[in-house]
Amino acid sequence: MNNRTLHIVLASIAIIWALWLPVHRFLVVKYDANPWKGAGMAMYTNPHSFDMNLDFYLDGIQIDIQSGDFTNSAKRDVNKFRVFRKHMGSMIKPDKLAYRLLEESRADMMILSIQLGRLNTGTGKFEIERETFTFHESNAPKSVAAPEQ
Amino acid sequence: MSEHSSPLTHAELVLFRFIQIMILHVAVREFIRGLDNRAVYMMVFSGVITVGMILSFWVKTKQVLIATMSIVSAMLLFKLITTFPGNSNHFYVELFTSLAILMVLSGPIDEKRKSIFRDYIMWLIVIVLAGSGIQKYLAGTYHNTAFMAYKVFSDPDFHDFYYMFDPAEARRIALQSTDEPFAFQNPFLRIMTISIPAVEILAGLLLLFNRTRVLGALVGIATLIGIEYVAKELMFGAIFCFMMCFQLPDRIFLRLIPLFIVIYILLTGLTLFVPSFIFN
Repeated sequence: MNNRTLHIVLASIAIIWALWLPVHRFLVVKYDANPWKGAGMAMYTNPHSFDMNLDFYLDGIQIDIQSGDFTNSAKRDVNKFRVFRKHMGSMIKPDKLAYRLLEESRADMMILSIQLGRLNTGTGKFEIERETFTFHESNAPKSVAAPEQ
Repeated sequence: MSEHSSPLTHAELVLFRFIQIMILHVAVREFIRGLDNRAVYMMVFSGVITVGMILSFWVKTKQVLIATMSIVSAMLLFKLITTFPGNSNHFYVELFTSLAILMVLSGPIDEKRKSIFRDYIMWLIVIVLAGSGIQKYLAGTYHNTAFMAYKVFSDPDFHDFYYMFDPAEARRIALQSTDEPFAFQNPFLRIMTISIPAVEILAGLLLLFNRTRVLGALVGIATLIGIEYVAKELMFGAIFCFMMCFQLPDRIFLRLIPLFIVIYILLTGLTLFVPSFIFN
């Protein structure tokens, strides 16, 4: 690589990274992406405390389902969803995972709750925002919910 | 005279030293992580690139550095894929630097090439420093001191740091309820906290101009030492400090190389012999 090409390539990397910062800021504001990750240089701006729970129901009664009740593949998908949702926020949708878990469990309903703790910039208070998603087996897309023959 | 005993040009010497410390940084970081996670493969990787780094002091051709940096870059790319999107921001600095080094080594090294690479490293520093300063203001948690007050509440290292300036204020925040707003009342602590992003932006801006570049590097190094004293991200602190020293005149930069070798040996020693001292 000659000096001129090197100059152009390195300058391009720096320019693209500099332009990424406002995009990252937009993703943090719009989708609750993790400010500490993603090369946006927004670490030490706001805590990003993330937690999520999965609750399963059968005929309206909560049932105890342990992670051991799922296949290893499904467990990996849960962990993957947890990591991606924590860092990429609402850009990552839970539907596919939820119907997969409903398919593998004896439950007919699942509630996914996500808690995100961070500072309210207006009040300076630490607040936990909760978001819940309810999934019914009956609403599952046929390709996912249909039992294998 | 054989090729490996031919003396290095000045540009080669400066760039080779930069690359050698970069390899040492990755080697020490992977060794520490390997130790923490009991991951033998990370320690083997660390050993292999350390051998490459040491060898490059004797065999004065870029082939050894190209081979070692290829391994380093491949490992960083593998890490990017396997740990995405949880990679730290600091990881990207290492990745972008390593890839650039491979590109620099792909052609004959002269003063012009060294200058292009040095400017690139300067831009990476500016993006990190000024970028994080701007992000802090945009986030809206510094003008009201909410973030730092929250850190004093939740992180003992930050509590101990602010305790040195105002014990009563640090104690008040540590004991407050999470329902109350987080903010410093002490005017000095407020000014100190609000000015953190300003200093980061200032250091970045000073680096941009040839006349103020050395001053920018010194302000940046001082800021970083202050931040890492509290945050204890010593691995990032060491390499970022080194990158800023690369902006100093060559003769000063070359004299500082032994210091950075000692710093990395100390960090390895701390991990091995003082496990209670936790740092990133």
